[in-house]
Amino acid sequence: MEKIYAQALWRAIEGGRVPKEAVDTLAKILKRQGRLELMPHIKRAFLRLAEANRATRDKIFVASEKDAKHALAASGAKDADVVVDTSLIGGWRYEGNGEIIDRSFKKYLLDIYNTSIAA
Amino acid sequence: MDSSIVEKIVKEIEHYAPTAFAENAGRVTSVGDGVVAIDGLSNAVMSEIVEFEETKGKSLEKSLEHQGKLFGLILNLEEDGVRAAILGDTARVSEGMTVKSTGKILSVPSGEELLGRVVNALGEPQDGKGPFKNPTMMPVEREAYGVIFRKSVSVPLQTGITAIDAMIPIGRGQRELIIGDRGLGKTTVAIDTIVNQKNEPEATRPICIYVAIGQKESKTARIAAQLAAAGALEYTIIVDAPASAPAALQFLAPFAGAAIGEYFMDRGRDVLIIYDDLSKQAVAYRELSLLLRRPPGREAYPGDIFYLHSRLLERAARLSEDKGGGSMTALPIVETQEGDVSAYIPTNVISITDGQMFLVSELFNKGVRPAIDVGISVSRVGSAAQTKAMKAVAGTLKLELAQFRELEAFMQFAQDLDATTAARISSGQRMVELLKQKNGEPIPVEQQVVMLYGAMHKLFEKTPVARVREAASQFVDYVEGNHKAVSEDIKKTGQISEESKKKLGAAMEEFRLARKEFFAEK
Repeated sequence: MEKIYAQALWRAIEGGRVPKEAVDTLAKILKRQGRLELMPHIKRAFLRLAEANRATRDKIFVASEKDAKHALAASGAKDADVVVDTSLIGGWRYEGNGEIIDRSFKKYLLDIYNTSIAA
Repeated sequence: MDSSIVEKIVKEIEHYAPTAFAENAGRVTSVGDGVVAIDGLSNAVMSEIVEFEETKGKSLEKSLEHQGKLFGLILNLEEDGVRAAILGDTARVSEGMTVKSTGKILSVPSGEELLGRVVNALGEPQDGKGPFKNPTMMPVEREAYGVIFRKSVSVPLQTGITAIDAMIPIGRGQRELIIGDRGLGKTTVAIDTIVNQKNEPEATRPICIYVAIGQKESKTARIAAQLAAAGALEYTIIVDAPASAPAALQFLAPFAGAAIGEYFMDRGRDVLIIYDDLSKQAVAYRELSLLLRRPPGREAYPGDIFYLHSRLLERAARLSEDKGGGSMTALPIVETQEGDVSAYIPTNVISITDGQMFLVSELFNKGVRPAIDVGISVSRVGSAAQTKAMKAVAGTLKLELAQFRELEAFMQFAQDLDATTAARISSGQRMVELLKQKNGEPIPVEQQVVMLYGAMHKLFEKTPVARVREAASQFVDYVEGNHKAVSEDIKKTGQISEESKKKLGAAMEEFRLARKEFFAEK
């Protein structure tokens, strides 16, 4: 239940409603329905939603800051957040829109190692 | 590092062509009890395998330490994500972990090289004999063959257990349920059936698959050792999903076994598959379904529990000649509580199978082993596959035993009984004794026929009840030793010719004279 209220609140704010106004309206509705005690649960669900939304933003992982420009151009993801992940060794990895494109050196090296071990 | 590995890696580098395509991915939002909720994976399909990405954010060195990939099986497609069962160690999955779609439906390896091996529900070797070199991958979930690809059951599958082969015969392609309380010898019947296949000619010998679901590892190890000692492991594959395995693997194991068996059936071979046992699989599936938040029904089992077993057992079939003429015979085992066969799972499986053999504690405690109650046991299609020789000697056996059970209660008034009733009781007692059999000692069908022929012609009429088995065994040995042609003829033709009947009559007379101690009047 709280998840549905949180999603409605999220959509309302995304749709241009002033956050305080949206929360006040929700509180009024809940009070009328005798469900005001749901408010702390809705807050937690809203925070989870925000976290999930942050996690699903397009990201481009690079081994060092200087690779960012090339990675953004190569992946075509201009609005992606750039994250430095030194474990990639080189290359880049794109995560977003429900997809992963991995062109990191780490992936290439792991592929080679795994194929050699399996052979 | 080993120089051969270095060489292989160098070779791989030389021929490496990087592939970087977009992979459908999602994110773990919650994990627990072997089930994981995943956000995303919008293109996922039912029963698809997903891969958990454990190497993200880890150094190359740490990534190389991972022991194999971790997979999950999609079991629920929901509005805002999917739910999947983890096919391995749940502790390796964490919240926020990336999950990649593989686009593959769960498959297990199969092929000749699996014979004599022990594998888990994913087909991975568990016996330390190394990986499979060139297996064929078979889909775990596959639609059963339709009507036009099948033919009637007509070839017998000999269990080596006289009570079964004579009264509840099983045909190749049949599904015969073994049902009873715990500790009554259900597994023993199944294992003896596997061991008895050694008596079959190699060309027609069925490939045997033993699927252990929710069993103790010690029991499975004992069975493997028993099969190896009997020389039966070489044509047997053991699929092991022990009690310690995740519920998902226990639920999948019978399907994996069926998939392995289908490889051989599709190639015209006969297969015997034992599911030990389906009640434990049902419990594992209930656990999984409740964790997947599917609505519980009767006894908290999900609504599709009947379909779970029917789609599994429908895969047992006798194929038409066009399809190679192979077969898969299924012997599912179901455990009852306090002999209650009207419980949910037993009634379901009874209605799906082509017959059932009930093992009852009353007989077991009386020392009747195997403790099969022939009165309520039935084989609906097996009689069509029974050999003429067996039909000739066992035709009225079931009826006689049923009548004996009815009269058994009057045994304590033996002195007041009329001659006909007393004779029927006496004959019944000897027949019960004759059908007793030790475990691990299956009897070839031709020897069963000889033994029952003797009993039918009242050879053991005067033998003391306690010595009937000994007398029968020695009579079989006598015929094998002095009239070998008779048993060979029965084995070859499946019939008792007039000449064989004459020889058996003569053998009975000779045996009576030679072993007078068995026939002394009281």
